[in-house]
Amino acid sequence: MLTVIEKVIFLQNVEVFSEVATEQLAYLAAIAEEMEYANGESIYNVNDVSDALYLVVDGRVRLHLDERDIASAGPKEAFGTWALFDDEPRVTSATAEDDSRLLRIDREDFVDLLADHIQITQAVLKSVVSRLRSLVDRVGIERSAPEAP
Amino acid sequence: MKKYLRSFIDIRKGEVGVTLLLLANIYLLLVTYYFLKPARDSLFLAKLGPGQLPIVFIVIALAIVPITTLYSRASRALRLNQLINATLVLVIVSLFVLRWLMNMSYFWVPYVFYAWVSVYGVLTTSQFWLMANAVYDATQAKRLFALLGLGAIFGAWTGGEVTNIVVTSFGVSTENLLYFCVALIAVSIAITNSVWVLQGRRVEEQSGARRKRSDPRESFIQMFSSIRRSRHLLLIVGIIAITMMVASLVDFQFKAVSTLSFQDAATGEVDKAGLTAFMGKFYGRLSLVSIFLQLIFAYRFLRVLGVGGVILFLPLGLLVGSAAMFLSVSLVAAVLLRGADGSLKYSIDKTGRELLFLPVPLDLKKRTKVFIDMFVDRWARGVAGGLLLLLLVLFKYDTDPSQAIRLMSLVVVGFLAIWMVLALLMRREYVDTFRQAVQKREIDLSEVRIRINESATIRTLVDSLKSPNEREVDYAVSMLTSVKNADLIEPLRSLLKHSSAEIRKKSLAVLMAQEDASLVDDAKRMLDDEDVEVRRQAMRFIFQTAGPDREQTVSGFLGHPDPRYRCAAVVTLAEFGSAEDQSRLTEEVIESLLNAPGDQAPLARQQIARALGFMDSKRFGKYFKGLLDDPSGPVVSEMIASIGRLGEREYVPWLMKALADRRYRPRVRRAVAAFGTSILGTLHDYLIDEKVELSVRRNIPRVIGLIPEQESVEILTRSISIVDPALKYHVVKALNRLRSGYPHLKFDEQRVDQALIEETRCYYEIAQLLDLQPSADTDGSQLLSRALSERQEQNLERIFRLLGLHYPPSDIYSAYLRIVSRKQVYRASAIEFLDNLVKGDVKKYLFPILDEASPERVVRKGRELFGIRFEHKDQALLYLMGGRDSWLKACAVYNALDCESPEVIEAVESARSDRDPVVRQTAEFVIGRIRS
Repeated sequence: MLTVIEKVIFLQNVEVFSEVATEQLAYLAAIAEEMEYANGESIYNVNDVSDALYLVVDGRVRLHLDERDIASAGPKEAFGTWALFDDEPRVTSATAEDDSRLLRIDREDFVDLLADHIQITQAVLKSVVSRLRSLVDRVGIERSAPEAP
Repeated sequence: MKKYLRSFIDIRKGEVGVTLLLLANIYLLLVTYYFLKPARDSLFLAKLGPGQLPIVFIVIALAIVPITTLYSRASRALRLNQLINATLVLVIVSLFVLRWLMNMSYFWVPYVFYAWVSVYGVLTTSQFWLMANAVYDATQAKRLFALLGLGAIFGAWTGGEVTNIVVTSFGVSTENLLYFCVALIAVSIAITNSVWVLQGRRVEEQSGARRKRSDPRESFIQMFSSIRRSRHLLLIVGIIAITMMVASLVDFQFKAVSTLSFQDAATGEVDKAGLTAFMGKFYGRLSLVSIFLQLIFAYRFLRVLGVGGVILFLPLGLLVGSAAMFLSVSLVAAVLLRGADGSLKYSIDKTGRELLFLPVPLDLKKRTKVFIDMFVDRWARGVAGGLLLLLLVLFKYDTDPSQAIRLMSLVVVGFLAIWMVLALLMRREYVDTFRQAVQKREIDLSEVRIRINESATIRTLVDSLKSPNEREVDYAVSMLTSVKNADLIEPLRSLLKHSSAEIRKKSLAVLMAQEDASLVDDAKRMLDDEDVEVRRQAMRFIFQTAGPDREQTVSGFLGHPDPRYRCAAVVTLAEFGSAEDQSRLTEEVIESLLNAPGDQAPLARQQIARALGFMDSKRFGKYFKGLLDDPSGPVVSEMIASIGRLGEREYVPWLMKALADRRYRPRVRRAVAAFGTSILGTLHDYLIDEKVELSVRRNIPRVIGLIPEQESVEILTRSISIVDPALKYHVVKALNRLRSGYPHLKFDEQRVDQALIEETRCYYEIAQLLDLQPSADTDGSQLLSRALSERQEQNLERIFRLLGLHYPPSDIYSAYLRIVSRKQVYRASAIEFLDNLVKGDVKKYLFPILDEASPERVVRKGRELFGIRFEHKDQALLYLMGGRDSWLKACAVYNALDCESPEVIEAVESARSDRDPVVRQTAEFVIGRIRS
């Protein structure tokens, strides 16, 4: 079993929580559930309801569409992040590649936590906005780049 | 007739005491003013003659500048009651001085006395209305201001008549009238303080909020350009400027003719006593004419002719008076002319003028009023004074005063012509501006303190009721609250089927104000409305219009088989019923609803929870606990609000515990704050009690911040140095809210400085602890470094929040944003600004932090200033493990994994019994790892 402090050490690597203070991450740690998956076991499938974010503690997880690999997540890496924010079904399937230990944050628990801790909400919004801003900047740069002859 | 009287004397439960006091106060203030006004005129005219009036008009225009500046400074520094007391005491002292100066026969005394009385009249009445505005909310103001207005007019009449009687029948000299005033003003001071005892807290909140909203630093140019952009405002300013100028010319004509009439033809001496008595009688009776016009005609004319027609009354009245004066320079013509001015200006014209401001957005309205009071009024009076001087020379006043006065009427007629053109333009402009304001919802409904009964306004609002835009409809219905007009019935009736429950409810409320019995069937239909508040409003309507059958109607609904009807009846009777009505709400009625079966049961319990908040807690308190433990959240929420309303201390422990529950927290905060200052001691005890859950304690500063009293500031300031670091931020934040919301509250500079220095000490300490962290080689040390940096950032924020208690909060906030910004240029400007702003000892602790010197320099400064000295990492870990900050303690314990020092291991051992679960868990984990 991971302690709260250990969970915090993992959670601070999740991009969407990058602005959340470590003390507040301890509240997130309290709702982060530890899950174990055997090699080849399915974590979720494409079109499933998006209801949780996952974070790899040990092992590796493969994100795929049927047999086509899209990405993979190793230790300290998160996947399914946007499940915390929107209702769209899963766009990929996730399957454990090795015996894996994951942290799972349920969306409903997360929303309850946000309602109780305004600082977490502010920090999450800050990182979402910062990501949005960098995307906008990138699009702007790409659009203003001279076209190839 | 009864209904008509009720529109003036509609005082409700809880308003009687304060309303009678305010009524007595305005009555007395006007009595004194109408003692002084005739005395001022006759003393001046008898000694200096009317030829000097233009000079005094100019003197008044100039004197107002420093007086307004001083007054505005005093109003920012003092509470409203202190301000009024100070002004009135100053008035008493100056009355004694003036009376003494009158014996000295200095030539300038009549000038000073004339100007002094003019300022006195404006200052004391405006202070009175300021207090009345703070005591009443907008709805109360609409009901009660007419009554206070009546008190003012009767005061003016009494003052004028009594002056006449005491001077003619009792032979009191004009000068000695000042002593009567001293006595009456002393009574007024006592009344002001009694109002404060009854309503002080409310007045504080209102005037605090008012002061918070107003920004007196706007420049003349900014104000002028805002006005210039609005044609509507330009026309208002034009009309007011001409009104002031004409008033000065007419006042001169009246006083000159009066002096001539009381002058001995042979000696040229003026009969001072006779003139005083005449002036007293004239001013007093003028008030009676004014009240007559106001009561009988003002609203009728407004309804029929609209604002555009009403604002033409004054210039037309003056035109008649001027024509009479031109034809015959006599006292009768002078009385007619000045009478038209005095009576119409404060009745029909005033009603119209108030409405002209209605469509102007609140912020702009305030700025315009300041502009008009500070510049237009003075400028117009000053210009009128100059013009008069010119006219006196031009028309040879010294050689033939009567002819000069006659010719002056022609000048007045010229001004009246311009005035009427502006009024006609205004008429068209008003409707357009009002329509736009309703569409844009620019009028602040909470600030509407006049009765809307003007035909064009009503027509525009009725048009808006048909709008497809729900918000516009809602806004228009809200504006019509308490308006009585038969044209509203049909449009509002159709809104009873509107899809929005809020609009249905408000429409019913406006229909209720129409007091039309034919609407009862509509109200009965609304009893089946799906919305509970609409049903309650309908029930209120039915009870109010039931007439002689009321008792039967009430019994019928209380025994109705449908629990929805019973609920609506119970809540309505509890909330708005008389003592007799409440006596019909028996335990049997309440229990039948508490035990109502079926789907309606939770809603019925919720309604009962609301009703209990207005009922006798000794008799019905037995139901409180059950409703607080109800499985339905809305029932519990309603019961919490009721407990707050009743101030039931027995339930304070329950409420405090509920502060941790997100579902009820906002309600609980308001309910606890409703206990007022009496709960502050208990709140403080909970705040500093470490056995109380942190989630409860974290909410307490905010609750204290909802009680805007000096004691709240004291308690919070005292708590800064006592509470856990985790709570400090919340305490300082609550203080900031009080500071910016209620600028009159005082903050103990010494305590705030101490807290500031303590915060800087923490900053230096963290800087040293950070300096001892190895360059983030393990997860644990990385986490501790990050946690320490975060603490330092929070520390800096608290430092600035504390600075905001001393210095203007908005300035400090913008300096903070610049300091934390990554741009060096912003930081530099903020440091420069703070260097000029911050005073005292604090600077030497603060500036090394802000200067963004190297971490080594900050560490060195910390050693210099506070003697902080951590030599190695183990010492830092031990310090953190022994501290009160649970999160830093947990991080430090985790760092002990890489540590071999026996003292550190021992500290980890003792952390296994820490009160914080995260610290305990981490300590267990570390000890387990070390042993394995």
